[in-house]
Amino acid sequence: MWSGKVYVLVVLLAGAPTGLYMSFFAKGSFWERALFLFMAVYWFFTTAKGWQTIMRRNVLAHKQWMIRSYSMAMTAVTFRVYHILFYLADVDHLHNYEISLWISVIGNMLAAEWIIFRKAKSYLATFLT
Amino acid sequence: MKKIIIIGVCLVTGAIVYGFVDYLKTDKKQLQRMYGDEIVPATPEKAPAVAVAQPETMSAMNSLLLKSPPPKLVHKKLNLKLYSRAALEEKYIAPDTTALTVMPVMKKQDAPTVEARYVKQPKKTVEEPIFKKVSFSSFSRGSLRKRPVVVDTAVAATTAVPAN
Repeated sequence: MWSGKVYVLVVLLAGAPTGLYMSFFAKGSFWERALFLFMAVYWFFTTAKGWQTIMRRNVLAHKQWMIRSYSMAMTAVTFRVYHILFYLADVDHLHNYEISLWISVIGNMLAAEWIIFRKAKSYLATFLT
Repeated sequence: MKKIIIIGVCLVTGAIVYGFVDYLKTDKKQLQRMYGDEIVPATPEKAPAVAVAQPETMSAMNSLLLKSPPPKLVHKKLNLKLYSRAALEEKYIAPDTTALTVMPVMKKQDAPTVEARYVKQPKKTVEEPIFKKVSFSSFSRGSLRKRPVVVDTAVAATTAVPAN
């Protein structure tokens, strides 16, 4: 319970604002910077929505928004995994950086939506039986 | 609840504005320099010159190799001394190249007469310590009394009490 509150506070007051500021000076082209900016805004928005929904006692919506928020938080991890994999595949550094960044962000977003879809499907199935 | 979100929104908007202004202010060349070492050079590197052996030279080399006897494999005898600490240390000890001079032993009668002479020794410069040794005696009342008292004779004459 406390870990969730700490996570929300850290994201809303530290993680997302600093991420936004740093996105202007990120490595890569204009599009990589735009992606970082989008990431920070999306991370802030999903976390704020998760906080808002739990305050309204809407646990189902809260879970969904928090899955989306965690997916953004986990991009830092998945980015490094892809980076190592592409490094082993002998992809040059700059391309490796760009590809792994895009895959990690888009891939995590898709993975989050897939998890939500699966959970919703199983949840809806309970009404049918 | 709302307060935290409002603070967060303020921080985010502040970060966007501040970041954008900072980005406009910063030199673009400086940014390029930050990641400049990773930019792949446009011109490809020159291929190293490789000498292609001609068939004539190849046949000559083959014949030379066939004529020469195969190299003997030398197995070094292994012993414990080779790996001992002393053997390892010996490597780093420089050989003593100075010749040993042996002085001839003189007999008593052959020994030269030694004259005792006073030789003035050069003065030894004594380095004064930066911090003097602190002792109780230096601050004691007794040591203060020991100090020589300088009496001003002019003042003493004027202040002198005439004897009755």
